[in-house]
Amino acid sequence: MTDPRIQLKNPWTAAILAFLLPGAGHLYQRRTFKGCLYMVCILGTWLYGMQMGNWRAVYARTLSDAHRAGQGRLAWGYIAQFGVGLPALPAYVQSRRFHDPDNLSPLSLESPLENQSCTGLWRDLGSNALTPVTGQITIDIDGVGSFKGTQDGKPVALSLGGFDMQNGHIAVDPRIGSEATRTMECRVVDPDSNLIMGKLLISIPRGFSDWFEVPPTEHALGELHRMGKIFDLAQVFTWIAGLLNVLVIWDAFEGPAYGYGDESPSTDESEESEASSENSASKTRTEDSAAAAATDASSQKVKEATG
Amino acid sequence: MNLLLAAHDNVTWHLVPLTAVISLVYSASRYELRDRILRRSVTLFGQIMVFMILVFLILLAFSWNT
Repeated sequence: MTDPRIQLKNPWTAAILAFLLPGAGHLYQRRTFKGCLYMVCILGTWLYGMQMGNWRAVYARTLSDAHRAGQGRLAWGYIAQFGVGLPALPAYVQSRRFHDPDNLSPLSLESPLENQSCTGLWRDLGSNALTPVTGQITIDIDGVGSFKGTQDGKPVALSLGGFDMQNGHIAVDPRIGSEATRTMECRVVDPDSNLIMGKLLISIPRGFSDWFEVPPTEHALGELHRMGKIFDLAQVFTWIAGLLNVLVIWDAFEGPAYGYGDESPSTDESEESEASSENSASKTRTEDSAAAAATDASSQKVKEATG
Repeated sequence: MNLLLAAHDNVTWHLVPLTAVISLVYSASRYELRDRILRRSVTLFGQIMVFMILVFLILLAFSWNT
């Protein structure tokens, strides 16, 4: 039974708040010290893990998502991460958005790009040279437009004649993906004859809501694991943050597990201490009687010797 | 300097703050009094660290000269 000094208010509300934001349930119950402690410790652990894993340690992939995408690997760790509440909830939504067939196989850009800053590689079919370029791109949803920037410090202007095709799809990364940037491959054409001169592989930034907690593809996951143990440890931090919040939710709902903290030692402990004191007392009595017997025996020997 | 870099790269050091957090949250979920929570968490932190150091030393002994 919960100590009457702890005011749990409405335990269900407190538990839901504790789930949504670690420590919020305790702040609602005016248990300020524990609320702040939980918030700092659990959110700190979660953020530490996220930062360690390049903000990509949390992602979800449900069974139906994995089946639909033909990917067998489920994100079991998300069950633990889910416990941290609001910070991990976007992952579920992002998984649904990412695995949408329209997202995985785009037929065009969602909206035209106007003077979008980008970096990329330009391959000239004539020399087959691959050189880095930086600049701004303006294209419509079918990839027709222009690129203006610099190549080896010299100004360069390229006409773009649409997206390159790969396996029947345009060579554009899905709008929603786990990386902070999105790549697309455009055909570079001669503005007069419209003949293909080469290819431009460019990388443009994704919006935060289009990459945060989005499940990585198998390829992207392989890239993440190149970070080595750090990525594994980053995930462990986020798992532990979620699992610790389960204790916090229970504490908000039911109160502390052992009591208020100022109780006298438990009955078991006192019984144990009593038993040990009785043992020591009986041991002392035995030692005393043995000593007395030894004294009697020695005095008897002295009498026999003198007598 | 190399030793410092090695310590920085060693992921084992990340377990120290993790252990501290686990000790604090676990102890806080057991009791309500601040002093009791802090005292218990310090004890628990020490116990976990000693256990991990012992396991580390045992594994180190097993992997000696291998």
